[in-house]
Order: sequence, then C-alpha cells, then structure tokens
Amino acid sequence: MTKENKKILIVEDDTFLVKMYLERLQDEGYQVAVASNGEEGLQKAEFDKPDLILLDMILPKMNGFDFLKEIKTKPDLKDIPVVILSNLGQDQDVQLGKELGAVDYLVKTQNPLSGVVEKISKYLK
Amino acid sequence: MCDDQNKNQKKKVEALKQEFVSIISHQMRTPLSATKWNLESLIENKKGQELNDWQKTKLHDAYQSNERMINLVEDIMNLSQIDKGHVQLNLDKVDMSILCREVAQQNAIFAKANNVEIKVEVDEKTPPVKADRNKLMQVIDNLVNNAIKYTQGKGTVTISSEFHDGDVTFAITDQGIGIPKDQHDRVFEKFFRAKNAVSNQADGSGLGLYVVQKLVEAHQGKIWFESEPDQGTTFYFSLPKF
Repeated sequence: MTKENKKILIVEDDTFLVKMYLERLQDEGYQVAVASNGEEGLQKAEFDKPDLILLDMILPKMNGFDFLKEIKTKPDLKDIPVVILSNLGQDQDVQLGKELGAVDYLVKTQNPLSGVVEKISKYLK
Repeated sequence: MCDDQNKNQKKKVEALKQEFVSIISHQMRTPLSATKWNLESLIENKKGQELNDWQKTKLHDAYQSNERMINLVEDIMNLSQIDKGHVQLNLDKVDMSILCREVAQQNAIFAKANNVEIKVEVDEKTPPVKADRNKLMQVIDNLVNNAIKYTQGKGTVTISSEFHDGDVTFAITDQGIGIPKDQHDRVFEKFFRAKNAVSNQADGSGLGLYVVQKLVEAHQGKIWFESEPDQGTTFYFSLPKF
C-alpha cells in the first residue's frame, strides 16, 4: 500500500495546530481527516476506518483518555494504532495513555515535527 | 493562628502553586510547539524559494529563542516536582542508542545554527538502562543543549557511553568555554551561572543543571563533570543497567 492510500485521522481541537499537521501530512502524501473533539473523532473513526489516529488528550466533549477507552471496546477499531500527541506530559498521563493501548505518547514541545512524521510512518509500515 | 491552621494554610497555598504551575506550563506548550513547528518548516524550506543568509539567521535566532522558552517551561515543571520532594518516575527498559539519536535530532537545528556537529557514539551494544524515558531525555537534552550553547565557533559535541560493573556511564563532551575551576563546586546549585557563561552572553536560567542532577539522582544515578577552561567540558552520568 502506498502512502496515498494510508488514511490518518487527527483528533485535535487547536485549529492552528490542525492546519500545520494537515499541511505536513498531506505533503508527505497521506490522506487526512480531522475531528475537533473526542465524540466527532469516534464518529469519523467509525466512518473512515483510518490506518492511524493522531490523538490530542485535552479535548472538548470527550477527552483523549475516554476516546481511547471507547475505541478499544469496538472490534473494528481496536487495532488501529493510536499515537498520542499532547501537551499533557506528566508521567501518570503517559503511563495511563500507554495502559489504555496507545502505541506511542509524544509530548508536543519535545518532538520536532519531522520526528513526529517519522514515528507516524514507522507505525504505518 | 494555631500551628494546625498555619500548616493547613501552607498546604493550601502549596497546592494552589502546584496547580498554577501545571496549568500555565500546559497552556504554554501549545503556542510554543506551534511556533517550533512553523519555524522548523520554514528552516527546512521544502516548498519556498531559497532564503538569503539574513533570513536564515533570523529564523535560526527565533527558533533558538523558542527552544529556550520550551526548556524553561520543562525545567519549571520538573522543578515543581522536585520542590515537592517527589519526582515520579515511570520506569521502563530504555534503549539508549535510540534515545541519544532522538536527542541529537531534536537539537539538530540549534547545533547547525551554532556550527556544531553532534556525534552519537552510543550504539546498539550499549546495555539498556532502567529509567523514565521522558525524564532521561530531558537530562540528555539539557546537557547536549548546554554543550552546544557553550561552544564558541566551530566544534563537536559527542555523546558516548561505557559499561562497568552493572552501571552504564554516559558522557556528553564539548569543546566549549569550560567552567572556571573556582566555580566547580557551585555548578549544580539552583540558579547558579558561571561567570564566563554570563560574560559570553550565553542564555540560561541557571535551572538546567540543578534539574538534571535531581533527575539523575531520582534514578539512583550519579552525575559529575570534568572541565578545563577554554578546552571544554565533559558531563558524565551513570545509571543502573536494566
């Protein structure tokens, strides 16, 4: 499968960051869908069946932790790799995110965008 | 006011302070990361026309200032845990060759802007350590960042490792301005800045090495250094093997 066929769902409420992710990931050749809160994220995940979900944690309506719990209960979504990309970076958050099944937990300020893209491509192989 | 009331009041103030630091730090990370990534895109310049040297310098300066702010926020967040007397660690098996390469990548733009080459001599043969990955990353990032900052003119920063008797020792070596001998005892003090660092106008809060030492010690590790003025400095830290 080429990059063009790989779908990424971004669940992020900060429009400024969304704009940046979109531009970069589309430039890399991925198909990208966006949801601005956890509930919309779940609906889009059901509808789009993405190959990877890039998830923020502090979100309106349903936060990232609850989103993770929800998708892990759904047989058709539970195996989609979820990469958390958040500002919430305390150890207990990272631990909980991983326990809930995220494949990676990246703190935004600690990663260059090129590093985030690299990790995404690794999980999509 | 009786002692109990006093204690309760102090506890409440302390809790409020912690909450304030936590909220502010989290809120600050969003615009800081957006700035970091936008500047990174401009510096990489995958789409635009070739930038002239003046534009490149300005972008690197802006990126550097933003990184300084990010480091300060990270240090303040760590400091609030250290001051509480409890650094919470999420211990795991950490592959140091990957981690050191990630730190080098993270500092690549900063290093290039300062004519510094980062060499990673930590390979897959280095035994994994038992550590909190994020905290350890902050330790190495802080040391590498300092090493770049205190190199004047061209230079190399090397990250290397050695393994002895159950402990893995890491070394971050620079060819920078060094630390004056009469100030060696004060290097890990909170807010301390060496006089030659200040006179060379290198940015810094004096929090970095204090936080680094506390984080290494929280891992039951040790940290020390060797330094010669105008020759360079090597910071070492050792951690138990996984």
